[in-house]
Amino acid sequence: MDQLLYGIKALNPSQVIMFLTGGVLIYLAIKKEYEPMLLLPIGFGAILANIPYSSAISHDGFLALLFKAGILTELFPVLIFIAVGAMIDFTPLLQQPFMLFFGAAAQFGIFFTMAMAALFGFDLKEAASIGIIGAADGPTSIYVATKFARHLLAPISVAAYSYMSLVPIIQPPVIRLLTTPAERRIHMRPEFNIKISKTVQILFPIVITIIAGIIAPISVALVGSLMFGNLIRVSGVLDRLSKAAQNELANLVTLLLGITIGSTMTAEQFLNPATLLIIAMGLVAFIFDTAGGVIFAKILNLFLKNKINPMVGAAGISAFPMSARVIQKMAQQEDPSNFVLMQAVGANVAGQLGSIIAGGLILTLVK
Amino acid sequence: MDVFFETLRIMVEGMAGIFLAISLFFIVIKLMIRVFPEKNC
Repeated sequence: MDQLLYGIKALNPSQVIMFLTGGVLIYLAIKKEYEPMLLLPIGFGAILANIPYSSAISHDGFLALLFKAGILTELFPVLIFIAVGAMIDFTPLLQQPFMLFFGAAAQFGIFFTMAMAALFGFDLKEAASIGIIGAADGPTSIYVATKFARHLLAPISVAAYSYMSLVPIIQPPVIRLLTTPAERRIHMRPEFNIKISKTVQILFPIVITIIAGIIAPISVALVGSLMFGNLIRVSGVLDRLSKAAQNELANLVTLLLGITIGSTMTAEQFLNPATLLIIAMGLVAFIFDTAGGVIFAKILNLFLKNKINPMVGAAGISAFPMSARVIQKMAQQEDPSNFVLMQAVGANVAGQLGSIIAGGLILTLVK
Repeated sequence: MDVFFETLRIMVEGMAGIFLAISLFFIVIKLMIRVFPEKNC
């Protein structure tokens, strides 16, 4: 009889709270459709990890093995980047390379949050891992947190993916606070008549990898995998591989990544004040990313003849393509004849690059 | 507070590094588009 009851006897209230937490994530995934591909596996992984004596996370449990093989080795984030690279069309960015600068400015939230985390008593590596939530890029957050603060991996991943799905709620109030209706109505000159040659499309991922690698060699795994995926896409001769990266690889690794991250959400690691602080600071990171992009655009407008709609600056965060859609929706709310979608997509794609560079620089600068 | 001041240094160097990398990307893209225009392909 004891053998039948030993699981029940070992159950404690904190594990029940974690079941509920997992349940909330599953609810958000199914009912609200917030990043369901990740929040659902994370939620279920959390439940699996908190069942007393769970064989899934025991020494040779399948989730423990996946954690060692996919997270500790940084293999999953890198594979996800290959898939993401195969999905991204850089053409809007190549047509208007000026948008690159918004992808840089909108990384400000990372560094601001890092400083805030330091003020709250986190050490430098923990603060850097928390700040990188502002990359608005799950794989980059996981990559940096794995290297710097493995014990904070669960709350950082959950915060990163949750806030990415909440971009339509987080960004609009920040943008409205920082811009006037007149600024939000600014029409931007379209620059989409520029045709990009196949040669440029093929050279782009190669050259970017070399430049980023020389500036921050530690970022080569991140940038290189993203650009490898993109090279497969634009080469025109690897259509099957490109489709496999976009579909099978992306789906399989996302599935394993989500449930493995969820398995790190054990009650003893997750239920503490630090988790709440990390979740709160993730929000700060997204707010200051948005503010960084908008304020940068407003500063540029002081010098430019053809004004930029400052909302486009907010699309410089890496949450692709959600942020670009949010900006277009807001622009049309102010003026139904205003189309800034392609400019916002350009800034949004630049945000992908900016976030990876930021991740690489953090890994380089934090000792 | 030492950690906080260290994060400020990283903030300055990090943002400078991102803008440096992005500026190089910008120059390279402009150059590539000029050297390999669509009509030549």
